[in-house]
Parts: sequence; C-alpha cells; structure tokens
Amino acid sequence: MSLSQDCDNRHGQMRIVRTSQGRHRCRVKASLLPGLKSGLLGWLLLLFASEAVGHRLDEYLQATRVSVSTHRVDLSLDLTPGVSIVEPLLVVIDKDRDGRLSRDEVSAYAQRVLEDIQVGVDGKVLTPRVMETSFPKLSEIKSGHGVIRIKATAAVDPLASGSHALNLTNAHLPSISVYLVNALVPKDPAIQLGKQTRDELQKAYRLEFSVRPLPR
Amino acid sequence: MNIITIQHLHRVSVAILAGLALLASLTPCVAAKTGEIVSAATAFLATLDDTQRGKVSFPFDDAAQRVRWSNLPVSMAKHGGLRMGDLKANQRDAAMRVLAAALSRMGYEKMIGIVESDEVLRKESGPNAPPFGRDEYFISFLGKPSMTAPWMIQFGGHHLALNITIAGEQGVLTPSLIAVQPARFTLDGKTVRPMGRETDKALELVNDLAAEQRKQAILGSQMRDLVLGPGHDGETIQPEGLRLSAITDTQRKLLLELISEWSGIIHDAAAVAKLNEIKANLSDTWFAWSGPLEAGKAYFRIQGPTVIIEYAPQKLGGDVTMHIHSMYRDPTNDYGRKFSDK
Repeated sequence: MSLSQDCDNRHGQMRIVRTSQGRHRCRVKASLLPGLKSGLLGWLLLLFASEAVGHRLDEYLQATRVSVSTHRVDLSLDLTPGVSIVEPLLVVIDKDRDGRLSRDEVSAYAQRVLEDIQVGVDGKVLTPRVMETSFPKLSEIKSGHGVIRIKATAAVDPLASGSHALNLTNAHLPSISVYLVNALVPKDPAIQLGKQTRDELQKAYRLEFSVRPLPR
Repeated sequence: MNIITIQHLHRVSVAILAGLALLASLTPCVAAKTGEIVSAATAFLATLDDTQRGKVSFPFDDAAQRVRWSNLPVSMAKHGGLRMGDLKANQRDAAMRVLAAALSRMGYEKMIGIVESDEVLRKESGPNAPPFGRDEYFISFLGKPSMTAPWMIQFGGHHLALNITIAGEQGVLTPSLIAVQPARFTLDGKTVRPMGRETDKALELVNDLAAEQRKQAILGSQMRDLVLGPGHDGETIQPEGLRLSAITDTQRKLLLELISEWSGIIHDAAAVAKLNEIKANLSDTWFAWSGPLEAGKAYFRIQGPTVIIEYAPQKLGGDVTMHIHSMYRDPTNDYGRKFSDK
C-alpha cells in the first residue's frame, strides 16, 4: 500500500489508517492554525456567534458503538467537542501547545482515549488497538462541529456457545463529557444481542449477548 | 394545530397547494404521481442554463453527493447542487414545484416551516453568525428524472436533509433529517410549530402507556443526541425500550399517527405504502423514551425492521423545546437501495 493511500490530509483533515503491515509513517500534518494567541480571538468570536446555532456548546459528546463477533470486539467512537470546551481539550491533545495537531499528537490522543475506556468480555479485560483515526480540521473542532473518529478493535478468545456479557466503562475526560453507547446489530449470525444496561450518564455500559451454534 | 396556513409562508405555495388539493380529490394513481414529479423536475431543469444544469445534476451512484447532507449550517458542511439564493424567481418557484410534487401537503408545509424557522434564526442572529435563512438551501438531482429508472431529489441545508428516491412507482424518503430551531415562532401574527404535532403526539403516546409498559419504554440513561444522525448510513443499532407487540388500539392509533409525521412527509401514495409496511411489522417495533414526561423535553426512538425514527431535543440555545433534531431511516432501504439494487 502506498503512502498516499494510507494518509489522507485533504482539506487539512488528518486520517491515519492501520494496515495489515502496521501503521505507516505519514508525513502529513493537520492544517496549521494560527498560534493559540491569535486563535483565541477567533475562538471567542465563534463562541459568541454560535450562541444560537445548531451545534454543541459546552460538552464533549462521546458516542461509542460496539460491535461484537465471536472472535473480536470493534469499537467506533465519534467525539464531538463543544466550542466552549475546546481549549481544555486542546491542552490534552496539543501537547506541545504549538497550535498544530501533529500525527504523533493525534495518535497519542487516540491511544489516550482507548486507555480511558475499559472494555471486557465475561470479566476478561480486552486491549483494543487503534485501527483508524480521523481528525477534522482544527478550525472545525474550534467551531464545535468537528467530529474526531476513532475505530478500534480487540481480539477475543473464540467465544463458546451460550451467554456472555460485555462491560464497557468510559472514563475519558468525565468533567466535560456526555456519553452515548449503543450496540450495533451484529453481522455475525452466531451472535444474538440481549439486554443493554447503562448508568444514567452512559459512562458504564453492559451488553448481554449469546452465541448460538450455527448449523453445519 | 398551530401551524400557520401555507399562504402566509410562501406566495407561490398557494398555487402549488391548490393543485395538490385538486389532485388529492382525484383517485390516487401512483404512476400519475411519478409522472407529476418527473414533469416538475423536467420543467425545473428547463428553467436553468447549461452551467446550472451541470451544477444541479449528479450521477445516481455519486456516493459523495449522496451523503452530502447535515444538520449543520451550510458554511460548516459542504452541499452540492444549486443554492436557492442563487436562483431567479422563476427558477426558485420551479424548484419548489418539484418538492411540492414529491411531498405530501403536510410534508411540504413542514419543509417550508423548517426553512422559515431558519429565516427567523437569520434575522435574530448577529453579524458573525453562520449563513441562515431561506436562501441557504440546496437542491440537487442524482440521476435523470425518469418514470422507470431510479433517481433522487435532494433538498437541504441547516436542519433539513430530504433525500427522496423515486424508482418507478416507488418513493422513498429515507434517510432524512428533520430538525428545527426555533421550534416555535410567530409569523404574520400566527404561531408556527413545524414539528409541533410529533412533539405533542409523542407525549400523548407515552402518557397513554400503562405503568408496566412505561417502565419498559423509559430508558434509565440520558440520551444527549441522535445515535444515527448524519454520517451513520448503514448502521443499525440494537432496538430497546418497549416492544410494541401488545398495545391497545388507542396506543396503536397514536403510534401510527406519530410515525406518520415522518413517513407522511413524502407524497401520499408512497406514504401509504410505507405506513402499510411499518404496520405489518408493528409487533417487532420498539418504542424508547429518555427524559421527563413533558412535551419536547425528552428523546424518543421508534425502531422496527423497516423504520428508525429518532427525536432528540438539543440543549444548545437554553430551552431544549426550541431546538429539535430528528432522523428518519429505513435500515433496509435508505436511498431506495432496495429498488435501485434490482
């Protein structure tokens, strides 16, 4: 696979895809914004301008979709920061505070998100690996309509027929976040989903499911 | 019902709705309806110059244009096609006639109400606000208007995305995003609530549930937004809440009236077919509610084998009842894929 296929930086967006050969080095960088000092003015203008418009303001929406099969668990995360929590979020992402999101910073942030999410099946803790990360332009993030997308997958020891349960806890930036968690209808015909249970804020989630023996 | 009569909203709509009323009084004929839509689309194209025709037309299988819709202001989400504000009056009227042909009277009024609410937003917004208002909506066609081959009409902008697939005698409105802010406004001295009926009917339905039913329907967690909004084509989430396999006749009536607020946006012949399909699967349809038992303050979801409706009040703006997002999907037939794959 060529470098250009692995790295997509059109219009300043950054996308890193893990391939079967591992993550390729991408020399692209996210669109460079003015330094944070000059950016602050624009951010404030956007904040005031966005009082009435249809996008998020003071919360970080973390929407997770869970997909279960007999041998793996896939997580798909959409992270949408509101305009007034962008600055504290950038402190986490833009480690060197240079007003740019480098590939390493994006990768490190995706990894940090996954480290803050605990997921397990039948009590066994899983270790999801980042498979794909898509970062919007920083200007989009700052205007409250950029969505950070992370896809991850975790291998699971082949599940035997019978009942199982997946538990997920999202502890990523709880002071500014709201959460959604849902199970996707599985493509694997052996999986039958059951009850979903969440706490009030959807930080903690439990999915009951069963594995059916498939006719030979 | 507090919605304003359409003549207060759009002068050209008077003639359009008179025509619709006349058509409604005649025996419904699906093929004739398709012909009417094709004629309106062809007439619209005839008002355009070559450059405009090039901008409004996309191949039917243009995957990028197909998903170019959003709840966001148009400056934040790229739209293809022709912008209403760039059209001459006769071209704009012809574009509206396409929508009037493809939508029911109720659907057309709802669409106009949403556009007018955005016009209110424009007038109330400051100079640094994104572009709002009735000029900021886009129309496009995917494929050529045809009586037989599948083609699509897209119309949308901020808080609105209508994806209408016409495939011979079939009409499909999914996926469509129906949203509004402000959800209640005054125009010519009358109160307009473009999503007022669905707001009120949902509360009526949940209030009609027996205690045990309501216990199943109400999710114990906060739902802060749509789960299957823009960007989530092809995904189906696990249904939850109350399975509607054993509901009373009153509940069934309320439920179908509620669903009709989305399924009935498309023209009547297609809407009847869609509602019949939903009715056939009602015992495998689920209703979930999250939030207080107050009009417009709670998230709800209706999910069956061929329909997903989500309604999500938005915190932004202070009063959640004034800012609503909703999504209408068919997991088996978004963009009319069931017909176009044949």
